Amino acid sequence: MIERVVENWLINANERQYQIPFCQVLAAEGETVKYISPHGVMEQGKDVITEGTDGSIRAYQLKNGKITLKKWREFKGEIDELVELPISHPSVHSKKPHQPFLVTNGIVADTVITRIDSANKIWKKHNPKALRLIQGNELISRFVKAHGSFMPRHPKQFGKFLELIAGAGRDPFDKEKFSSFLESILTIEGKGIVSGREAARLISSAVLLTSIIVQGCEREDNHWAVFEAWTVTASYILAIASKNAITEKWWSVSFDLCETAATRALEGLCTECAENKTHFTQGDPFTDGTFTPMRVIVIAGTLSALSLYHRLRREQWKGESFLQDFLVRYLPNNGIWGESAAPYITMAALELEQHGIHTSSERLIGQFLNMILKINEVKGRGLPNTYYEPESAYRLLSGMDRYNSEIFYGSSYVAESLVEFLARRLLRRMIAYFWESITHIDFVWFRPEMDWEWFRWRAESGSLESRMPNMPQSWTALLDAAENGKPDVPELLRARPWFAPLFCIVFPHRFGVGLLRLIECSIREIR
Amino acid sequence: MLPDFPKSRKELSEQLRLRLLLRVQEKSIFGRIRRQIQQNEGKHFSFEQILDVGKRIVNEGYEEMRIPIQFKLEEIPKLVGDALFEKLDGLADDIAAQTSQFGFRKMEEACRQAGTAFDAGGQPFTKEMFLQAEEAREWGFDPQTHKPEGIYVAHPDTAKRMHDLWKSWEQDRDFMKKVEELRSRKYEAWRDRESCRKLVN
Repeated sequence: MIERVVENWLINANERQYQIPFCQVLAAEGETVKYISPHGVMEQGKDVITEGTDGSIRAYQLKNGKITLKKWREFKGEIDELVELPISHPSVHSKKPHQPFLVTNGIVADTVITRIDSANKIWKKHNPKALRLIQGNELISRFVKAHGSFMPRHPKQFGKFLELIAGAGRDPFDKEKFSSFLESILTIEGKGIVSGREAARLISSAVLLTSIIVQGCEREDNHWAVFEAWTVTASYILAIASKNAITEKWWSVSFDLCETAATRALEGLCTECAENKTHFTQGDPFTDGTFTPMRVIVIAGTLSALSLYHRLRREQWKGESFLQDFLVRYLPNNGIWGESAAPYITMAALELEQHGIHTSSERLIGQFLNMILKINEVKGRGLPNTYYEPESAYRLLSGMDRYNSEIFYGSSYVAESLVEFLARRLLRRMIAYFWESITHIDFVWFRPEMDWEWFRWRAESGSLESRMPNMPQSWTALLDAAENGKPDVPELLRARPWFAPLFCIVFPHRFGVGLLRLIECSIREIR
Repeated sequence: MLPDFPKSRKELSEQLRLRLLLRVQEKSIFGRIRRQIQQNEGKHFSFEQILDVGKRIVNEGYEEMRIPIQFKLEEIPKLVGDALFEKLDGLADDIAAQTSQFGFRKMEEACRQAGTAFDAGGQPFTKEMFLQAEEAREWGFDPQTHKPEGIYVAHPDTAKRMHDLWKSWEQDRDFMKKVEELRSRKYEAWRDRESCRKLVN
């Protein structure tokens, strides 16, 4: 049954969809992944470059479906580049010729195999290593071998897995259910310690399973859901690594693969948005007006997080100018659903600053803080907290969540971080204006007891801390804390601050003073 | 397994849970305080408590509440409509009672810590005791009407006695003058506190 699931997934995947799990298979087999074409677009014919255990360099080009003679003729030029052009990549130092591979999840027609044999003789002048083929059957058996023994075997686990596959489509990604599934796969619960080798195997399976689960979302081009799924998997890799104090060599490749898959999904979202054929509307026009303003925030926040991710990695990103235009034009018409919009709004504000649009950035945060205070300082239901994501917050506020009586007034999970944001911009008068209202709410923050639990969807241990704002509050002390306070976040996040913007968008309940300090501090360092 | 209807049962269960919650809120003075925080993760919480001088951080875990409930198999088929609501309301009343007991215990502890507790020592309540107790308490005022804000919580019998007592105390001009002086002092103290809600230096 498991093998059939893998087979079914692999046969139906396109080359972009199986690229990440294929890299995971190569890594599981001992190859070191040196390069993955970041946007799914092959460069010089090479989608993936690896180094084998013997030091040999291998280059792969991925295709999907049956390779007929007609198809072969269409991409023959790419294969010429794959075989003939030497690898020019900073992480590849070997001067020796590389081993080229053509990979497909289908079969290769006999006529094409004959052509390849002939072509190998011609290519020999440039590269003595002949092109090798990896076809569907071999691919399936390598996937099953690499992951099979760690696939969900328990009926409950397997049931959850199938539910996730069936549920993945146009809806927002079910992070809660997915996290619970990942926790069972990664055996993260309990006190047992997992060795590095064991963790690497578990992680490798989690990556493959994620690919299978998100296939439905990819089919629908639900980039947001795909991004969230991969970011959750990346977070759980950090969780298992942190919990078991596992060195990077066992998990960094898988983590990087997840990060690549997550950012690639956002690239897809950016491309779709840049085309902007529908003014960011979608589906039934009778109902979409309610959701368009929320969609604008989600787009603004996720794409800003992507841009900040590239900035923090000191990488150029081609979507920057589109994003700037989008933020300026559309963000003023945003529809805040609750406190879980804070990471989205804050990432957008930080991105605006990168384009020198400071006034809009500060106004955005000021207006958001004002909204929280206005709603949460007076008796009433209040603004849904960070545990309510866009759809659940909307359902609650619109009365669709009929049996939920939770109220939120009198406290805020994000107000303190917004105040610090404004303090770092020396907006003393604005904060002074807000302070009276601020003192009518409590600053609330959940602190996971152990670092590794930061990366879980819901921490088992930890404390909900509630603090009253100072009355009066010294500006000097506030400024000092905002500018010099240490980011109280796990070491694994401090070591890779570029992941923080993505993480806080997907785990909005972890967004707080510590994460924002880390992101802002890291942005300052790259200037 | 016997034939079953889990989807509808789940929804009915949620309806009943809401009814239970609303009944608890109605019946318990602490349940009626609409200020609440629902904890989504972890098992502990901490909060600041204002003392006579300064604040302290209170770290606590949750306290378990147990309400015994019994169903007889032959009773279950008849647990619909009024019979079901009656059973549920009984459960809610028990929860409300425990919530109140817990709330009073916590309030007493907090008042002792903050130095605002006053123990009449079983003696009949007098005007002096009233003034002494009110003196210890921090008063709040409505910012618009400037009227004192606060809730007196008492047993219905005590509440009636207090109400009658107050009617007679109101005739005592000296006492009422002292009450008014106290109110003025408390109002000034409240204004001082309110004036601290600002950013300084």
